[in-house]
Amino acid sequence: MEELLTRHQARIHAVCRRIIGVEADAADATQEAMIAVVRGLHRFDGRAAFGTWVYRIATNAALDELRRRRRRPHLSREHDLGEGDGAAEHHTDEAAGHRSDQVTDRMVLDAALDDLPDEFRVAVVLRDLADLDYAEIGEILGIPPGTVRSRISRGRAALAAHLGNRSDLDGRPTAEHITRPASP
Amino acid sequence: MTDLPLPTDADALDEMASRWLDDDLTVDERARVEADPAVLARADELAQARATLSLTPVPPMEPGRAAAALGAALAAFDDLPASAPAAGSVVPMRRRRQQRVLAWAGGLAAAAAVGVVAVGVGPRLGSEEPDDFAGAPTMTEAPSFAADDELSTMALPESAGAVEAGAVEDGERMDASADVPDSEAPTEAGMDDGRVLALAGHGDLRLALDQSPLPQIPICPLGPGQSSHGTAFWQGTHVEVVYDVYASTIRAVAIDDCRTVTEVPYLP
Repeated sequence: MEELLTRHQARIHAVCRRIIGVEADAADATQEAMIAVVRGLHRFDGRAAFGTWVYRIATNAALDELRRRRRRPHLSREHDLGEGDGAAEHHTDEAAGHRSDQVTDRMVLDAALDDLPDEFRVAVVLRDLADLDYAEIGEILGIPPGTVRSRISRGRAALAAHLGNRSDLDGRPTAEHITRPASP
Repeated sequence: MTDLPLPTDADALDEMASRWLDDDLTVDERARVEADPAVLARADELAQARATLSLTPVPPMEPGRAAAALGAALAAFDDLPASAPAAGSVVPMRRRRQQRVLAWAGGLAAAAAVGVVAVGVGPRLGSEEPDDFAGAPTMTEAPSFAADDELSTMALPESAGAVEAGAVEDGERMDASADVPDSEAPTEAGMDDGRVLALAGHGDLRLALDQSPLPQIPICPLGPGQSSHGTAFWQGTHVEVVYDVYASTIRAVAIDDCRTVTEVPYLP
């Protein structure tokens, strides 16, 4: 059991972290999700891949945590930097500079995700981070595939706008220039 | 058909670009998107956003917090009652055999009825006897095998370790049990849904689960977190393939007495 949980802990946390945005809350949701996995194992019937089933539990735990957070007073949604990511970190070498870039990227991404409505953020995270297909996302969220497509599209568009993504394809872009993920 | 205009609404164009990224378009839609530089440029922007999300590393949990979460989950596991409800309903072997007898009886009765009709209609119908029986109720059409019927629509195994049955009449090929195999020689085994798996080693046991991921009506009683994934022959023994999510193992359980014949680790 420990091996099974350890194997899936990082992906549970990743989904919770991207959906919630705040590390402390994401850690709480991760723990809740892992407990829910253990308690719900007898209900796992193999109709979905085990990973998808775990993602569903992680998503529900993250959404529950979001609801709880809305009910309690807070000043703002702070994006913590995590261990060793403090602003006082000395950038004395190239590796430290690279790390600083990573932290900046993460903060920009966190802020962009923060701007997305929950329903768009969850759909995009499940597709582009968890790599689930439309049907699996629809099953997890209890929405039809058409709604999944729409939420992912609008979520990606909003994310692109916030991140300032601009096509750098010169002239007539071709399909070969664009990297696509695996089919859903 | 590629000259149909793409939608002009910005949201609809975004959705086309997004679906193109996910390869979710029809052939016609894809051709229209790939012929439109503006939509491709938009797809490139969305692809960059997607890449940023998927490639930006998620900071790992602080080690102490991760250990605490794991400890809490393991504590919850320890607190589980020993007799948690089993997954799925159990159909005892004896009842399953009764169901088969009833199904056969039904099939024979229906066949007899068809025969009476054939005699009444005349020799033209009688000359097509083998095909006529295709419309009669068969064992796999009996209500008790509905779950197995669903599984029969699944693709047959394509790997070298699996072979299709040559002359499966009733969805099973029980005579394979008479041939006790060499220790690692593949043995054809009849699956209840008409498929045949050749199991020889532990890898094949995992293959059996991969190729039959949907749970089936169990034959042997299952414990918490266990699901049945068909039957096969394991070194001459007719076994049920059981996945145990708690133990993270796949078991070959003898159908005759439900004892565990072999067990291999498996992490989904």
